[in-house]
Amino acid sequence: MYSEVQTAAIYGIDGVPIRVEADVSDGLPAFQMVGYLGSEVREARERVSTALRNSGFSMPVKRITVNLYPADIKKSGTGFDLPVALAILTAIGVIPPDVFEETVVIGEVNLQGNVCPIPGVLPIVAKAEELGIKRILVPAQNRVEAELLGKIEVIPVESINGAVSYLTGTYEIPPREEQREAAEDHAPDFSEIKGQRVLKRACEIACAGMHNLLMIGPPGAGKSMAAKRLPSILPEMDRKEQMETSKIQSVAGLLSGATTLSRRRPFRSPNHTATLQGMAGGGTIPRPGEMSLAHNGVLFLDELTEFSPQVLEVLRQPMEDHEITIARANGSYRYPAKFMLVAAMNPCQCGYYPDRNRCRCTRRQLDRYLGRISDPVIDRMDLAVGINAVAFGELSGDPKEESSAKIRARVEAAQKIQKERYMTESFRFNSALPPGLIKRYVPLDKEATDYMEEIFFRRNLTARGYHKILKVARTIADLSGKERVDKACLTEAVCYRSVEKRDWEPDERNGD
Amino acid sequence: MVDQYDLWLVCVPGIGPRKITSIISACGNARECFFLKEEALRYIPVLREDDVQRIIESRRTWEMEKQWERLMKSGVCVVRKGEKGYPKKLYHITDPPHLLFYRGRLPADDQRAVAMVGARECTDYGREMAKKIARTLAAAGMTVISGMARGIDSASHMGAIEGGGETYALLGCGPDICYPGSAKRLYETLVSRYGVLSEYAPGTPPEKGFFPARNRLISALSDAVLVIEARARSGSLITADFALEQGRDVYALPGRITDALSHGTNQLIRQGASPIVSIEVLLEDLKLRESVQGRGDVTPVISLGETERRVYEALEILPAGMEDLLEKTALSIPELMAALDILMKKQLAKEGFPGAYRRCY
Repeated sequence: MYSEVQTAAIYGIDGVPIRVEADVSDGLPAFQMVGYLGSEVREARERVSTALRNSGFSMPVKRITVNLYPADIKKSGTGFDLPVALAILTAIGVIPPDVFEETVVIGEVNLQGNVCPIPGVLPIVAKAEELGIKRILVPAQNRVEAELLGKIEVIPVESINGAVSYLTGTYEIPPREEQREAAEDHAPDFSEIKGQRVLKRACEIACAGMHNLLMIGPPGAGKSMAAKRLPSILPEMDRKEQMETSKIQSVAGLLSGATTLSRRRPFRSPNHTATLQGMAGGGTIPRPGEMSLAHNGVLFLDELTEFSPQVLEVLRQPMEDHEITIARANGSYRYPAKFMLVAAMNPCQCGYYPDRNRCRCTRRQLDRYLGRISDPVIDRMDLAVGINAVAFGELSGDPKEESSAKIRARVEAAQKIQKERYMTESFRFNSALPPGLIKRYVPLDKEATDYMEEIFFRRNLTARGYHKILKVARTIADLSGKERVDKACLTEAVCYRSVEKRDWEPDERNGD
Repeated sequence: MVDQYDLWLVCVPGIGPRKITSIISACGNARECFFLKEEALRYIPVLREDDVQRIIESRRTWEMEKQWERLMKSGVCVVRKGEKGYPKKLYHITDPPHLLFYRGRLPADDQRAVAMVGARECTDYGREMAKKIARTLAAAGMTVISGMARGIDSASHMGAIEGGGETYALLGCGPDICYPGSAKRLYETLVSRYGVLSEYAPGTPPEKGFFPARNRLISALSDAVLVIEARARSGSLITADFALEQGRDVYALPGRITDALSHGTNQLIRQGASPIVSIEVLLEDLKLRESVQGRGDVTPVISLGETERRVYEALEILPAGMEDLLEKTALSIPELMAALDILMKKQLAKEGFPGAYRRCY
């Protein structure tokens, strides 16, 4: 007898529908699985036959053939166990064949016949919803994640027997456990940083225009502290962004336990030992990397100079394209990767330059330390802010610090202005303003034009550096609600451009 | 005239100026020494057995013609002790070099000179002060002698050039080699307008042991030695020791006792060096006071607006973070940045490091 069960696989961060066919026919007793299977899927044969036996079903002494189609997609992951088991049970007549209409089945089984959770449930549920599927059987432990979307009927199953009794109509779905509304977890807030007004201001500007930010300062100055608080001043994600980000998290197995789709932007802070794959994504079973996990949020690279140069170079392409493409023999996977890059570094090896009491780095050591970061990476940082260690007075004093909510209100206002201004364009933020359109969107009056000309020569700018100043100045103007970029906006923007490498070299080349 | 045998003699490894003096007084000249019998060499005082062996070994392997030609082609001039042009000040030290190689010129004998030395990795305070002192002294007619190293040395040379005076560098390698390589532009200026001197033959690469010996020449060619910034136990203190041995005055720039780079100079002051309490007093001490009268610095503050003046006053010679400046000036961030921009344009302030600003003089 023949049967068919719908399931789905993860391809990149999207679900693709897969059908599992089972055929039980006379012939030499055998159980074979075909359909371009990865090794873990091929192992399903042993798992499923043992699990079925342990669930009280005897495998028929017949020839069983299971096919997963379309056969041109490589099947990987363990979510096919349950559909394979149910397809066989249907083929041998335990389950009536018509119950699988408009139903998708996913889940892994163990030898006892219990159903185990799998990663990537959310994209599969989203895909099913998109295709008009009515209900989905998921591992009980994935129930919360599957119910995040809400429209589709989610059937949590704990074992093969549970699934069978549900499908044969003898099983009631247990009501969803009353989820304790997760207490608003204590999110880090900018009011916890004392002083450091310049740093906070730079963070505000960076968030308002989605500019990349580089912080240079001694250990303990508050670089990481500020970076961790950036999501708190970014506008919350809209529905579409939430979906994108949650899908990626689901595929990476980071979504279990979430009770609602998070509106908070992700903050990823990979350690500096990160490998190329960890950063970009990939592996034989492709998984999203840190760049994609930071999609719609902040990617924070602490100790920028300690990252391997190759890892830093791989950042460049996604920063332009907002997605990363991983090519494999069996197809290429695209992971979205639109993030705000925030980096922190020490000024020198020991971290204390220019405090010569503590820093004994030689000129050459300083040069070598800074030289680890390639110009193209430096070039992509719009704002660079040098920060000093916090003075004791600032630590001990208790001035009222501004809360993240207040800063976020200003950031949101500035982003709204940009959204309206760039309504007809393909980009949304000042940071993405292409050079060709800068003249149009950042018009300068006579005074400002003269000033930029002077700065261009005085600071020996590159064309790219020149444009960055204009873009940052545009954001500063938006933050203060100014229609036009005036000289004050420009001078402030210039102050955040010390990132031009030659500027950080103290005045000692050839004596001066 | 210097001949090829003089060149050979100064190039014999392990034979320093002291031994050469002894050899010359015994043999008369380098040529005699080259042809002297081995037994006769042993009679020369100061020379030990291994010195004699080295001389003999060197006589055998030294490529006389080739080395001489190399010197001729290098564009480096050379003067021998006792010849006209050999700086007279060098006769007063115990071990004057037998030959002095130089590019450019030699300092004139009647020219008063100060040596300025200090740390390579110095602070902005040291660098600014070195530059300013050198500039003022040079403008008053003083020659500045230093070692062309990074930091204080370079700043001193640059200051002297700005002040319109003369400045000479003594190197710890052949005078045809620019060491450190980063001082290329300074080196070219010194060669074309002033002079670069060394007791090492052209082509001799820098060696650790050469620098203390070079320091003795820096102090020897000067009437006074100024130590600008030095850590405890540093090379600049060696120069100060030589200066005391050679009877030169030693001046040291005092600093805060918490600054590692002022430990050496403050220590010198404790041992009796004159503190540089102000440039005016220094000029008086060096008996230059009269000649600079009326040249006094123009305070640049006059042409500044209110906020800029406030920021300028808050700036110090050591870089201060923007946070500190906000605190001191009570300005808003855009105001402060605008003021700093104007000050930088007028070259009254400098961004030493991202977010850290200091005053310029």
